[in-house]
Amino acid sequence: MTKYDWLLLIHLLGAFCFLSGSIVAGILHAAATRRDRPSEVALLLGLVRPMVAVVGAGSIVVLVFGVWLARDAGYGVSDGWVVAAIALWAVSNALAGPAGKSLRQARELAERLAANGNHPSEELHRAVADRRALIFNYTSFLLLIVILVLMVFKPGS
Amino acid sequence: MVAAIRATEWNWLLLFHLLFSFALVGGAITVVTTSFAAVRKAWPEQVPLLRAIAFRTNLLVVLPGFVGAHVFGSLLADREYPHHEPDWLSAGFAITDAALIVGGVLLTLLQFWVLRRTRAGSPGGWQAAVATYLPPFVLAALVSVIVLMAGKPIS
Repeated sequence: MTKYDWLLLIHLLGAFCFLSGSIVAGILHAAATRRDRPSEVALLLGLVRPMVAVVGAGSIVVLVFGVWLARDAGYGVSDGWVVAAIALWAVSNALAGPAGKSLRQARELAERLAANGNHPSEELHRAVADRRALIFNYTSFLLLIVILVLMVFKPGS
Repeated sequence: MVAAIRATEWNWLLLFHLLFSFALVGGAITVVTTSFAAVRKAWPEQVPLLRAIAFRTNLLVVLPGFVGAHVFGSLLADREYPHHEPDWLSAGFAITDAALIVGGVLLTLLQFWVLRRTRAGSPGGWQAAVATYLPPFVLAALVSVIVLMAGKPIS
């Protein structure tokens, strides 16, 4: 395997952790929004927790090895599509932060309610389906797709 | 930015191949996570919910992911290697085919069976054990395909 192959492999593994981890979190979150019992919501949002670490590690790996790969392949870090991808990466991460905090608060509320009778709660339902967090999450994921488009088409290169 | 994109047939195929691949791996990780959570003794009353999520994810995300990644991957391979398929590509397709049959088709049927048994009050048995411990092997097969596709370790 050449140096380029190694860089591409690690960059792609990071991308899979980043994007596929986000998909896992999205599936489990979507399932949680359809549940009423706090114990079920707490369980599903609890399963999202390890994915946060996977997505976080993937986002760092994909950026570091992506820049390294671009330089190794003869692209400039100041090329338009590289700059745009890095900017979108930053915005995507900035949006995912508050959304993750909102989900953590929803999980903590679900755990408290589960320990105190496990009765369905309108407050929990609102917290899990928080409109602002959903918009941030979907926008963040959409930006990852745009980054993927930039990586494949490399406009202007 | 979109206007600046000069689309080619090859790039669109690669884009869709990657999109389906990301969905496939994301679905496979979800199936592993929920299947293992279903056998944890701490949550016996949540087993039907977790088995249902594993089954639906396999049916609605993993299976379409397999088909999409395979179809667009094949179209891509036909254009990039029209005369001679390299060994890493042949190995990748062979592993994907096996994973599709085992992890896509057989596992989905097994999960449906396990879900019905769980809802009927029988969450255990060899069926549940296989439905729990098979998904990590499917995920490992997918990771090996990623290594083959990106690293091209064999000529």
